[in-house]
Amino acid sequence: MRSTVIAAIDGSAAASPVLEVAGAFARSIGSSVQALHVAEDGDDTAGALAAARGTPLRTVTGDVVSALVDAAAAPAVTALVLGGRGRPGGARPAGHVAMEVMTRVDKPLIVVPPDAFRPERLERVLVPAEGVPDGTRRLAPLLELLAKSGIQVTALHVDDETSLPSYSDQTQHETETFAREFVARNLPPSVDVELALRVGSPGTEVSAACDESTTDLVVVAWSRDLSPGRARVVRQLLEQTRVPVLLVPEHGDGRQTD
Amino acid sequence: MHAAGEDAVATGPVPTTPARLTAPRPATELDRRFEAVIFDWDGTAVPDRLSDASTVRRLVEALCAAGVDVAVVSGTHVGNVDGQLLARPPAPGRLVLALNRGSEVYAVDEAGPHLVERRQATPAEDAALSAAAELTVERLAARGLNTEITARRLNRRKIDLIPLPEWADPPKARIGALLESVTRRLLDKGFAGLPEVVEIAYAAAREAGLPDARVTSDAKHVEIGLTDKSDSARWLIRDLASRGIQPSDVLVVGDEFGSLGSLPGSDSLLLVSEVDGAVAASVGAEPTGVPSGVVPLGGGPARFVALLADQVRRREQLDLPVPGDSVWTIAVSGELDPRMERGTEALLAVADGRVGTNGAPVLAQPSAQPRVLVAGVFEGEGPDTHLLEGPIWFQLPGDLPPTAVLRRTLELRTGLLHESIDAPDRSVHSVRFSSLAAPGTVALRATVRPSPDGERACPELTSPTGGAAAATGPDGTPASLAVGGSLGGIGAVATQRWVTGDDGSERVDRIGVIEGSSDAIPDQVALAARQRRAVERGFDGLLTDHRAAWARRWADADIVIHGDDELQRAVRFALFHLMSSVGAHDESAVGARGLTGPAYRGHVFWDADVFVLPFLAATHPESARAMIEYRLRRLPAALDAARAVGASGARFPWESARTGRDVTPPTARDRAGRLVPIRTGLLEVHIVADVAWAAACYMDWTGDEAFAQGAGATILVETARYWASRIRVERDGSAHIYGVIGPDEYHEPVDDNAFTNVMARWNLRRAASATELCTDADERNRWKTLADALVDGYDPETGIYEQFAGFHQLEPLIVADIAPRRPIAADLLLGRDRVAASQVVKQADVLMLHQLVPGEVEPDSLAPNLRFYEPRTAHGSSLSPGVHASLLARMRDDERALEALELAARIDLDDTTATTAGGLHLATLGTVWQTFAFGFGGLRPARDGALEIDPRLPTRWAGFEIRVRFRGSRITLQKERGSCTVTASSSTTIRIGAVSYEVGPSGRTFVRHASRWEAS
Repeated sequence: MRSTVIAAIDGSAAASPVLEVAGAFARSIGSSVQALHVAEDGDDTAGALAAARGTPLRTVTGDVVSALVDAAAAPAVTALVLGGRGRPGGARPAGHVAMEVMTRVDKPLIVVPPDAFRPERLERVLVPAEGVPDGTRRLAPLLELLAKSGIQVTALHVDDETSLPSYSDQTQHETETFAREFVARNLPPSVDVELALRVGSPGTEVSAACDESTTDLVVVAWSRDLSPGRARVVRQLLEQTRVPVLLVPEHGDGRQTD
Repeated sequence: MHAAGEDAVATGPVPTTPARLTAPRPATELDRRFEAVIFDWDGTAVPDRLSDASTVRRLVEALCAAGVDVAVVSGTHVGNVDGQLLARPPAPGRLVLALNRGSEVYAVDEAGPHLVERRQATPAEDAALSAAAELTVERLAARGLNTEITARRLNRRKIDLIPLPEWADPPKARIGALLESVTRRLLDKGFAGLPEVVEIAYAAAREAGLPDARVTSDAKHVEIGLTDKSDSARWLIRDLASRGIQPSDVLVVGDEFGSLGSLPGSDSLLLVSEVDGAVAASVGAEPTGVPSGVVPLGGGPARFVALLADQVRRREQLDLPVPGDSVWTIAVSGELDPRMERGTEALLAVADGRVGTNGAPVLAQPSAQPRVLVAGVFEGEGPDTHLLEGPIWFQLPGDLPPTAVLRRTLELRTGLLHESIDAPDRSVHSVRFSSLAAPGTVALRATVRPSPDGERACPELTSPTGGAAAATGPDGTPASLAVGGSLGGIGAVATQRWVTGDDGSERVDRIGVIEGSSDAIPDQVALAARQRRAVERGFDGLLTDHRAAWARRWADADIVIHGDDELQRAVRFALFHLMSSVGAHDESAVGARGLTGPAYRGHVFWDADVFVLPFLAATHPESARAMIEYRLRRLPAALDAARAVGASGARFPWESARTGRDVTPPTARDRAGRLVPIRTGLLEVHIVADVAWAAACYMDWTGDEAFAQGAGATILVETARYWASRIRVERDGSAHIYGVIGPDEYHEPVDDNAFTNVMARWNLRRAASATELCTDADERNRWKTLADALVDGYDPETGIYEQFAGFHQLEPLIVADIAPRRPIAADLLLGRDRVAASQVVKQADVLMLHQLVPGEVEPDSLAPNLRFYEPRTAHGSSLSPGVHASLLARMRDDERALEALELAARIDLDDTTATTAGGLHLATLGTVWQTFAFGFGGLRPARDGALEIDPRLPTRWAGFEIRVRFRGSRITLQKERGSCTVTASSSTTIRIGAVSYEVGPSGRTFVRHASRWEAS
């Protein structure tokens, strides 16, 4: 059974970038794309958009969030792509559907901003690496898959006040020495990862790095916990960047996902 | 008489022999390899003086050949023991005869016994012995007991308590009856028994003027002497220690540990406190049992022979040496931690000054990075020049099982890395070292269980990048592998020998030699010849030499702390790696991580000259000299570099590698990802004075006149010439050095950096005063004039040196106000621009002057400058805490000194930088030594040939001890509360409390009265 990437679309303008990002991602990992529309009012814009791209469409009815969560749970589904951008300055970093799906779905989920960059194919992905080994190691299979299709994987480590080093002896050697060991400790050895370093607030720096470079996708391992004080980087990314964010749920709660 | 023979029953106080007797225990303590065996002769090794000792002889010779040290202890003389044993053992093990009741020591080699030491009684002692014996006889006679002085032996007198024909020469088997007869005889005359007679003899000896006499009894006699077996034991333990063998590696065998009558057995005299930790076993009948801790074996000489045979067999089967006590070890155990593994491998590196091998497991594991580095063997050009990695010589076949429990123990005392891998279906136990006695020679011994087919076929050598491997050829040719660089390379030759153990395990000895050069691939034929010689010496022979070499190094360099075991371990860890990272031959290029890792590309910084070299100048001058040789051979490049910028003299490079041309990368990414220009290569010119300072440091510690007049003078002259050409004299006559970077690299470029200017001034003055033979007076006068004119930023009002021109106008930030903690890389926290505009300092800069050239700064200026600069210092350089620890120690600020010392001492043990994987911070470890020597010890060599000493003891410790070499003498400084004792192996002038004293081997103690030291 060929793996499938589901592009969740509605009739809004957000549907186009969702379809495009889903297509680019699916091509990168050798999956097919299926568009999924949860019909609420009989509007067929979604159908037209999918048809225009030659993407097969499945339409279901019912509660949108439940329908998407159920669809994502199917064994063949490797990822779910959906649009999601909250109102600027709003209480939520993404729309309410995206927010709910994010915390309930246990498959990789790509949240696509309406004004996302829409690459034909993915060339560079950015992985915030916070020095917690399990975070990035958990991403290893996915990153391997991406790297295999020729995508450049860049890990970004941001030091803030708490993690800044005590010493920086000779910059011309210290950074190199630190970076080499950081990669060895924290990044999957099977993937050729380029490490970028920043100093500042992690969320801000990751967002800035997305905008500065030609990043096509940000990949983040996350705990599916959006309660206050948690997932700051995820929140900031969703609010601030024009780059699609691939959220890979951690399985720290012991739930099986596939 | 040969019954009780010369093995007298011990009497008197034997403090370490507990009286409690215990039931026999199983002899599991003996189920191991020992490094030395000490045994009693009569009754233990042989039944009597007439028996055939050829089996013992054969075993003793075999043990010595296998590297075991053997010592015979006996009361009798050399003719008796050597005449019966007749052993003529080959090296590497050594046979020693400790005879004549502790008064003589002979070493025996293939040519026979040679006297090593004899306790020679003075005429007064001799007379006192006679007087004591006569007095004893007199007092016994006064109570009706007729006794006779029967013999005058070396350092003792023997009194026969039972001079009756039937007891003229009792055999040893009748010892019980003899004891009974003597006791009855004593009781008849109203004595309480033998102990009372012994007490009478002690009292007589004291009255005769022998307060420390030894009195023993073999039941028939009571003997008064100057020495006994306890003196033999002490001598032997000292001697073994000098060969790197600890009591825990020693087996002591006797037959009379238990008491005889009410007196402790004669062999219990061997168990003095110095022997604590040794395994003691008795092969005697021991009718009253043995003291606690002694293994009762019984079986007599036959059992003893079996013990020796077992040790020989263990050597033949390649048994592994046993790790020593934990105060001297760094151990890492558990399942391999993939995150910390590479750092662990650096911590556990073993190096011999020339070749360094990291502590990766002997079995492959994806997170492990087995690595071999050779000092000064570089590859690449310019800033990319880096250390070449050599062939891996210590790997065994197969992968580390994922669930294996791995225990790696680095023995700091001996430089041995023990490793045990235990998994349900596999175990590999090994020990490896890089020979300090024969640098470039490496050895591995391993026991592998089970032994699957093909196990033996593993290659001895593999390429560091994978791929190429070299195994012993079918015709027995050694494995040979070279790693080539563009110009030079690293070559290795190795062989291995497998045997099958009695337990079915496979055991292997692998011996290799490794050599490298930046300019040519080493000649494999010559390497093979060296390797053959190493194989002839064998694993155990190499181990003997290696262990002894480490013992010599520690004897000259150890630091002992009474009252802090963890810091003690960390300090020895620092000293161990400082010693093993620097070779003593030819030239020593000491990179920032020594031989423990590839970081900093092996480049040589001021770290080597200023932070590492002083330790070696003061403990192993040969190594310090080799470090200076590295600079000297690159003097032409330094002369060229000066000319290239229109200067004179020698401009040594900030970063140096193969050629001596500067290899500092011109740009780099910082931790914030920014590409930043690196200007240290262009501007951090204090390196020139640092190189000169290192040469002077070597001269001052060693008094090496030939060097001072030759190469040392050359360095001083050429560095002084550089400064003379670099200094600008303004119209007002003041002299300046513009556009430099000081140790505080947060500010660049700056004018008149105090550190640079004062070091240049010191350099000029030192050159002017020490190079009369090779410079003309005009030039020297010019140097003096320039030195006097150089501004140094000192303000007599405040007592503070301004770090550079304009420093006081910068934003006056205190680090505690702006940073969450210290140490911290403030340039990353605040940004380079903000830091540059403030008074935040990276590391000791002005204060480095107080550390390096205290005579060149204003008296009493340490306190105000420490008060001013320390709060402004982020300690963002790993060199900073140790330097401050040293200076705070001088100021008696114990708590802060120890806090800073802890930071320095634990930088790699705790991997506080997350970069230990790249190698150990060698210069930081150098500051640990400096904190003791300069800080707490107050040790400074003075120009007039005296060693200045001004020790300070932190209240937390009970005392400390520092050992150094000074002008050919071996000095020990022991500091205790309120006093200190200095000993010197040869007469040495020391200065303490501004008064000079001559100190020699007997030492001298000084007591502190108020703030003054006085000789006690």
